[in-house]
Amino acid sequence: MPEAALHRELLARMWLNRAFEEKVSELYASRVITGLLHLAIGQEAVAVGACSHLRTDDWVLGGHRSHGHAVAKGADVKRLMAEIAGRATGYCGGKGGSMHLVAMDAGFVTATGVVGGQIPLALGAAFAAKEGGRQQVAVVFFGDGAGQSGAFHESLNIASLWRLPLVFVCENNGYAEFTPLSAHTLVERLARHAETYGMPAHTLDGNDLLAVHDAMGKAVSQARAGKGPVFVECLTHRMRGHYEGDPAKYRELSQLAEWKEKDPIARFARMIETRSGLTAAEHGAIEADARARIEDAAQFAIASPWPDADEADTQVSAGHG
Amino acid sequence: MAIAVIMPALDVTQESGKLLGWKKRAGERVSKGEAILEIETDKAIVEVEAPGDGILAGIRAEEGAVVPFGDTIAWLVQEGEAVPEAQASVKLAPEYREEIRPEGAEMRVALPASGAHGRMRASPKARRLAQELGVDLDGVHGSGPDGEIQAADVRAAADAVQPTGGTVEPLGAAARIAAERTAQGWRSIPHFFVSRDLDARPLLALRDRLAPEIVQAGGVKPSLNDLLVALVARVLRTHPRVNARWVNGSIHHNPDIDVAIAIAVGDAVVAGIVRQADRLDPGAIAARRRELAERAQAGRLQPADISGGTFTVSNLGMFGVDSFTAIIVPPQVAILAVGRVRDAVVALDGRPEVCPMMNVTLALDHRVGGGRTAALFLADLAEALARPEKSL
Amino acid sequence: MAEQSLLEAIREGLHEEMARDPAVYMLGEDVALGGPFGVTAGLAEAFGTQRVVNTPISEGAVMGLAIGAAAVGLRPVIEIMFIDFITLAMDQLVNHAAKLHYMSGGQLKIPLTVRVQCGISGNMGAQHSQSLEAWLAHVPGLKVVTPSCPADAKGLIKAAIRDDNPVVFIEHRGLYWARGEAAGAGAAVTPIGEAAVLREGEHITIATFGRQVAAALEAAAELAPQGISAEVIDLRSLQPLDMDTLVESVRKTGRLLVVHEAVSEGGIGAEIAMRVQQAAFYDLDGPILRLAAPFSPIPASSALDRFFVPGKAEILRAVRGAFRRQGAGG
Ligand SMILES: Cc1ncc(C[n+]2csc(CCOP(=O)(O)OP(=O)(O)O)c2C)c(N)n1
Repeated sequence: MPEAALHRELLARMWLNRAFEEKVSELYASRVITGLLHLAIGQEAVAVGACSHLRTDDWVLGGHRSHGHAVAKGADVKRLMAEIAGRATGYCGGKGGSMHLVAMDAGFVTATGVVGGQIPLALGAAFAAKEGGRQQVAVVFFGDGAGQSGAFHESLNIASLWRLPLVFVCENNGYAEFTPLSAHTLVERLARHAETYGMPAHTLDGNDLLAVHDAMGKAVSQARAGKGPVFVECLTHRMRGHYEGDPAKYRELSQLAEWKEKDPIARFARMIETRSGLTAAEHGAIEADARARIEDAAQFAIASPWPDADEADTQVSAGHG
Repeated sequence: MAIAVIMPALDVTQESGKLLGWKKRAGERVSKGEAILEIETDKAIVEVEAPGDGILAGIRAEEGAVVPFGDTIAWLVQEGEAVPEAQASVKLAPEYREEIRPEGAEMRVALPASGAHGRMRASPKARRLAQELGVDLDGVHGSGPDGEIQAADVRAAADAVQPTGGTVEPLGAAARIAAERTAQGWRSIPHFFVSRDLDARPLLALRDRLAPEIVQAGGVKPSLNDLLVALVARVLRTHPRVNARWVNGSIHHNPDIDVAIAIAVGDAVVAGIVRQADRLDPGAIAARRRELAERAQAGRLQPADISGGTFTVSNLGMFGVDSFTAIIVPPQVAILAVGRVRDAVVALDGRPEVCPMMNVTLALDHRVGGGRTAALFLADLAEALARPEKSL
Repeated sequence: MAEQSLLEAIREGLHEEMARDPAVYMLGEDVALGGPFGVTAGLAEAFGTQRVVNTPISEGAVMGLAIGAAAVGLRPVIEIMFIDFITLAMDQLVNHAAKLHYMSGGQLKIPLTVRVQCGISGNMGAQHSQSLEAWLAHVPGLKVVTPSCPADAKGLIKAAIRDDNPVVFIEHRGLYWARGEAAGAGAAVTPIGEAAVLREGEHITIATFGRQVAAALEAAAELAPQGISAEVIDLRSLQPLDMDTLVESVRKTGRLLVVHEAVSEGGIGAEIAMRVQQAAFYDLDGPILRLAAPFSPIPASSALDRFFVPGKAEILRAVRGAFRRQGAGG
């Protein structure tokens, strides 16, 4: 794809993510959606940059803050929105919800609400991908908080030992719940753990879409080429509270203002105005298009039926309805 | 178009928030992102931003109001635009809370299997009662689910076959409770009994020596049983397991020795408590016994007079009974049944002699102690009885 | 009557114990900031971050740390947040905390309190809504308690902290803001292992705990004018169970309904049914009944998770079913 077209495509994907999360927030505030929702507004560049190199048959896994990963991997936004809203038409029939999205048609294997739980699972997807011999790769997203879990360390070791086709994407947004990373570890850059386990690792500005895009391009091709795992640490920031309803009192207002300056979408748009000649009108149209698609998704979700009561305890085991 | 200002959901597990105050007045122009009100949840005070540009209008929640999340509390209108009538209807997520659970949205409830399976359906309790009351279940009408015979059906059947013409003796509340407690004690406590015949001469001698002194000093003449209670209480000091409670599968040693003595009131018997009997001399025990008896006759026993005993002494000697066994009163773990003093021929120093003897039978909760525990207690009691002045 | 919420009562109990005994420490994710629901709010201010310690998201290591510290003399209180995450600390809790006293021939004591919250509330889905008390009650060496009212919340958290054994203290999230009579400053400890008979009755015993206690009391009140007198028992302690109280009650009523929010199979209800029928079989005037969540993970959708919370309506249906006459239907 020529660069100018690629840039516009990436911008559109970021807007799709942003619009999705903003709509979820709005529907939550008005109680159309309930549940424990963790939004990734401000982290769009990581999801979009990372997934832009993936094939549909590559595997992606995420954690509790993973709406955007599923959207960026190409899952149907209508079915995602319906799932988060608990409707029968959602990807999981309403059984999964915000923290447990699965969209196998798009290669989104699972999200999990247990911090760190996705990392060993991703090892498995990578293991299977390697055995499958079709140059598939697996990508796992997790936060800085997960970097202090046992599962994280055990998984880094096995991935590098067995040279699994896996890209670890750490979204270091500086906070786990209400606590800054510095209060959880003396290791400021989680990429250093990967080095310890003998894995190539990069730390980069996660609000710079092109930086993520470039680094992920190399990481994914290394994994695809059978040269083992890569660790990519993206420094970023979530613009909302830890979960919807979190007043985020622990965060300095100045800090928020600083990160608003670094809003990955505005920044990228400014950059491609010069580099690819994006006009304000074009940008406006791209945003409007994304918002329209998401509005459609929201209307689809709202109009969808609730799951039938009889569904409550079906699918407990495979092969039993 | 007017934009609704809603009470935003601010907590995952709550349904409403409190409006602390408006930061803008009705009629003021606000722009998107500006703080327009403050609300409070259990956790924090939060500023709410304007959802768009416009003029604040149609405020419908005042300061201090507790407003359900999702409710419209005001509008942002454009110049000249009217405040909309009602909130645009949004389909709210249903709640699991029962009060607002729609009709028919209850969970499934598994009821026990029904339908007869050849065998007669009767509850275990009904079967037990039938046996106890001699009722043949074949003829009993079952009133339970699917015709199951329940306890009430058996009782009804038993009542129906009672010979007519007899009289029913109704029981007072206290007697019913006592009966129920006795039944409970018998059912739940594994009783076993250990007996011993004791030489009553030292006890008789002691009474003959003490009684005149006490009476002279204006006290109550101690009975043989009062003396026995005094001795038993002192022996219990070195047998904490016999002076214990059985609670929740463990043995609780009682800090005090509070001996219950059976007192006849008309046809009924109440157990009056002599508190810390091990610290009372025979005169004090006699006085307490008299006090309990008087109150019992007058029907003025206090709860403290009859509850909380740690060991019971029951004496049927005055009715000419030689020996008997008694039922433990839970949560106590032992009871001593005392017979009359009677002349018996016993071997003393290898020669038959007539000697006043007294039989005591200890009933003990087998969960608390075995034969050894009971035997050692009786041995010490025999020893105390042989030389009463040593312990009194 | 002074009132408080269950959450405030727990906080007060923690506060009093920390003030009473300098060996008591709090550990957990964001506990110094109050935790996600504010239970520990103010404790760090009162006792310092030396004793109210924020931990990384390292449940296994932190559980082990708390156990080790307990073994050598501290009395740690660790917060695991959602009971669902206790899975990450199970090795330390089950293979170590529960067994060290035994394996050491009594040399070691593990005076550890593990705080977790459980239950369905807020449509959080399968990994944040479980009731896993039966797993824990199945482990010899662990005690498991769960309060249904503020006074017991305070009394039991104090008892847990003072106990020389590992005690899992389960808080039902749906009860955090439920108000009730306050225990009051310096209030008594609620002994572990004692159930509370909250309402006396003659025809059926309803044994339950946590959120279902209120539902059972409401149901009992509704049944009374219809001639069914229900006795309501709040178990409070799930390990050990107060079998004496249960058995005595069933001997009187002849019937038992056990209610819990945990899934039906292999739950506390099964254990109670087994032991009651053993102790009081010939006093049973009908089958023992169990009301529990379907045997299924918990769905996120608000349209589905309500089928997993036994409430008054279900209790009424179950009780009436037990007294249903022939042909009268259910
Ligand atoms: C095993 C486990 N422990 C605790 C939690 C509670 N929890 C949910 S999100 C979170 C913080 C996660 O931080 P991080 O990994 O940095 O991800 P972020 O929220 O910043 O995206 C915590 C502690 C959990 N979900 N799982």
